Amino acid sequence: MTAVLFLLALMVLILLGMPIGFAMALLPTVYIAVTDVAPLTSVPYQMYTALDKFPLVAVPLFLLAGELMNLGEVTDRMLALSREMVGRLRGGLSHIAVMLSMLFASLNGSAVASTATVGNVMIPAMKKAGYSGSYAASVTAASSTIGGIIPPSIAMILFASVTNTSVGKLFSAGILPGILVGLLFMTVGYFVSLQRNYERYDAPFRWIVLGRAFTRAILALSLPAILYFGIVGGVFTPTEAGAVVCLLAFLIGKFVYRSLSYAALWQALRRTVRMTATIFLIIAAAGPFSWLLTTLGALQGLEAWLVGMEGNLLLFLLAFLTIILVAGMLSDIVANLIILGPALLSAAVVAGFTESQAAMVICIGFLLGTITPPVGICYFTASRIASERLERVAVDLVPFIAAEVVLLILILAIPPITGLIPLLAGY
Amino acid sequence: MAMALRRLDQAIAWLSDLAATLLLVLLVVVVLYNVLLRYLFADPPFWTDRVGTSANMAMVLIGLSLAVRHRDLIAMQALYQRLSERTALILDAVWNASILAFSLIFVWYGTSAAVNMPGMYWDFQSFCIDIDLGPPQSGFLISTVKLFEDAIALLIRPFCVDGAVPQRYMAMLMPIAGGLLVVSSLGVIIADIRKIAATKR
Amino acid sequence: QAQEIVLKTGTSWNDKFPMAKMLNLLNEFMQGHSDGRLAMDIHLAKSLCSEKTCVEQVELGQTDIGTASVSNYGGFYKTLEVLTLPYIFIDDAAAQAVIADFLFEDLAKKSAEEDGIKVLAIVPFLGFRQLESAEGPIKSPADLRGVKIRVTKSPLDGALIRAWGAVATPVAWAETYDALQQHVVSGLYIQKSVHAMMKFFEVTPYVTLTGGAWTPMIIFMDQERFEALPDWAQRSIDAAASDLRAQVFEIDQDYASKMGAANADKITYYTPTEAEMTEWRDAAARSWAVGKQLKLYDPALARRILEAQHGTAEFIKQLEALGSL
Ligand code: NA
Ligand code: NA
Repeated sequence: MTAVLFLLALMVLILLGMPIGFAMALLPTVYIAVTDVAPLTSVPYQMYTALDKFPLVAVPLFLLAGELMNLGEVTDRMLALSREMVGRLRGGLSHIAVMLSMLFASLNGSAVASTATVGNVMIPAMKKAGYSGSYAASVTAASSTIGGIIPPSIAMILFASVTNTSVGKLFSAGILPGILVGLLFMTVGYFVSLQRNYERYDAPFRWIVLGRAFTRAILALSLPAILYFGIVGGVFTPTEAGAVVCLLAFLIGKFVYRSLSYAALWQALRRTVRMTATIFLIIAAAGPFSWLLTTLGALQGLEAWLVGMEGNLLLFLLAFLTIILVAGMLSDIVANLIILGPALLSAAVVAGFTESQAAMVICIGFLLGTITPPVGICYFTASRIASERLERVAVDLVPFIAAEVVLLILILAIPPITGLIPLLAGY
Repeated sequence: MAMALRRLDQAIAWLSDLAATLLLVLLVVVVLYNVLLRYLFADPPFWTDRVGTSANMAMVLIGLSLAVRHRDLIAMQALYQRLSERTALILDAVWNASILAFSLIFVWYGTSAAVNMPGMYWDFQSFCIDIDLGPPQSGFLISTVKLFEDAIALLIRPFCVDGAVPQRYMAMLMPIAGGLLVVSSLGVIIADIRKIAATKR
Repeated sequence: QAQEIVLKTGTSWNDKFPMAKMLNLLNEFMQGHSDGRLAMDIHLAKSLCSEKTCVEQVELGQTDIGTASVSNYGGFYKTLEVLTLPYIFIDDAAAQAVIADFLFEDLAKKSAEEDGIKVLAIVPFLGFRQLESAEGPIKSPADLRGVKIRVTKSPLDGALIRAWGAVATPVAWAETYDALQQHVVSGLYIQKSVHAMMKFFEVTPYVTLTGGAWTPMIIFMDQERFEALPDWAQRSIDAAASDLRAQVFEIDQDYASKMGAANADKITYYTPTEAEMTEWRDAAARSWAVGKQLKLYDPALARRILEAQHGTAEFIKQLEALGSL
């Protein structure tokens, strides 16, 4: 009960326009001060601890990498080339954003790092090409969830460790759903672009123009290639890759394309600092927020409710998906996976689903939570990059969220989507 | 007096901006350096992850006050569209006042958490203890890196306690960040009040 | 009787591990000894805290009871590090006997006085650690030369792996599977039942039964917090903890055999010969020097522990020769 009031209060504060990170931090502070359930040192300590994780450094690194690629003309040249290649399709850049996210997903395990990179590159380009900022933000935010679906995936590693499932099995189970969700997003993008009459590049196709665009972009294109082979070859980790891209983008922009000045570099650094701070405020505030929810036993109630429904499959499914989506709307993905994940998995297996099916629905469902309003870290990040109002982005996110829910239902209905590759891989 | 306070405020803003930006540079450099170390040594020292994480945390905690100062925080704007200018300004002032209140709590209890923070970082053991890292390697790059490591060891060693660095030192970031937040939220509240006073009822 | 005091308890382990059962048992005993006035509110699986943060939260008064492995706890207080010295215990039975005889009392007293930590129980954790590798079998330290083995950042842990001739590479527990899969490291050193149950055999199918470090866990609270409780609660906690200590070894062995049996057909175990075992032990003895240098253990106590067990005379001599006792 306390937990429900707690969440309601958060919703009200957010709707009233209080900065979201501070709303999330202030609520547990007030609650603790009034009820004395824990010492108030918990609030600063939990915020501090929430930030004390090495994988988080990927976010500023990739944000900065995006800034440098934009400033150094790297992005421009890559986009010019992709326009020659697929720009004649309706909504060309939107498809490119999805494909770039899928490519990036196979390099990186974090959805928010994916938003940071792809968003910083694609959102400005899309806005320039006539897409609304809110659409650009929503397609990149939605696509970045693929970062946690296509292996490697931090979410799945975490989930495997709390449920004692095999990381290898989860990784292989994520491949087909990751590709499927990409295709679904491109379909959504196509129809939205058609309806809104978004760009279609209509210069006649000429090999010589394509060839010239390719030559101009060849160095820029080597960046993702270096990234890919560096990670696969074990030269650097996906997190370190962010710093490597920063270095390379700087070298190319400064000394090859000669379009990056030191003054612009300094400004890019300052922008990255402020953007990181606004995003990480929410990650930090999620610390005391979910710690207090755990302390209050808020989420155990949900679990008992679910187990009570195992008799009726349809009712169970409804409850199962509802819990995942509602928890995803409100709470942080890490907290959800740790606190709710194990109970949801065992309940779904008891109800007759395979481990791969259940695990994928839970992981993808909670990843979806990173883009669902009112609290979603990728949703905030993309909106922030686009300097777009949250409620506008929320509206444009709806078809993408619906598409991902469709994927969840497909996974539950068709076992091979998550079962085939693990089977072939010998799990 | 007011003039002096404003100068001080501007100096704090300028310094935090500079510090946070340099911390980001440090983060990039230290992560790259780690890749280099791994390439050079089979058994590399492992302090870089800790420094990277800490640089990131410090950057964020200092950056927060900059975000407040520049009114850069993530928030829903829907309601504001329907409010009069004056009401919107008052609502803003209310939020900033609650940020100020939160910051004061953050300073007070953050200090207490930092002072009582137990534990050590083992990450700096290559600076704090003499570990045998295998047979000496030669080569220009390797000796340069070793020289660099020795230089850092000189900097870190005073902070070592029995082979490790206390976590407490790093935790002092909590009160520092809280203090910066107090200054910046106070600044925006004063600006809010001025603006409210300037708008007609 | 109504519940009057609820002790908030956090652990990183989920209900598939013995720690969960032990905490539940402790809770039962507390309720039993207090007529239901005292109980624990147990949060499993890192939902409240995990290892390092459990110690911090207990010390900062945010959580009442926590659990941690002794090697993680070593990042806070050195008192219990002596337990993790390689080959300080001959086998589980010897560890049980020594701990029950004098060691628990000794260490608990020292922890309370010097570190302000009330140790409720020293809990075995699935026996000794073993060496798991991607390629094998690893028969003796010679086979390990240059192989990268995942270690924690604990200096004793790194020292042992280095003493065995391997390259000690610190990797966080959560990233270990990934690191093995991407060949950042090619082996690890954990209890064989954890290896079997958490499916590490997928990336490291070879296990060499070297033994060595016996890394227990502790269940603990803050000493001041304990002393602030009313007398009846303190008595109930002490009585409950003592009841639990009498059972932990049995529970642990039960879990170890069940967990170890899982997937055993997919794992190749290698038991070193007598001569190879001597090589493992001789090399490990050299790693004690790092512990000595960092004052991680009291040589007199270590000697007393070794002397309380049969068949340690050779090892004691060797450590004496190395100046580690
Ligand atoms: Na991925
Ligand atoms: Na959400």
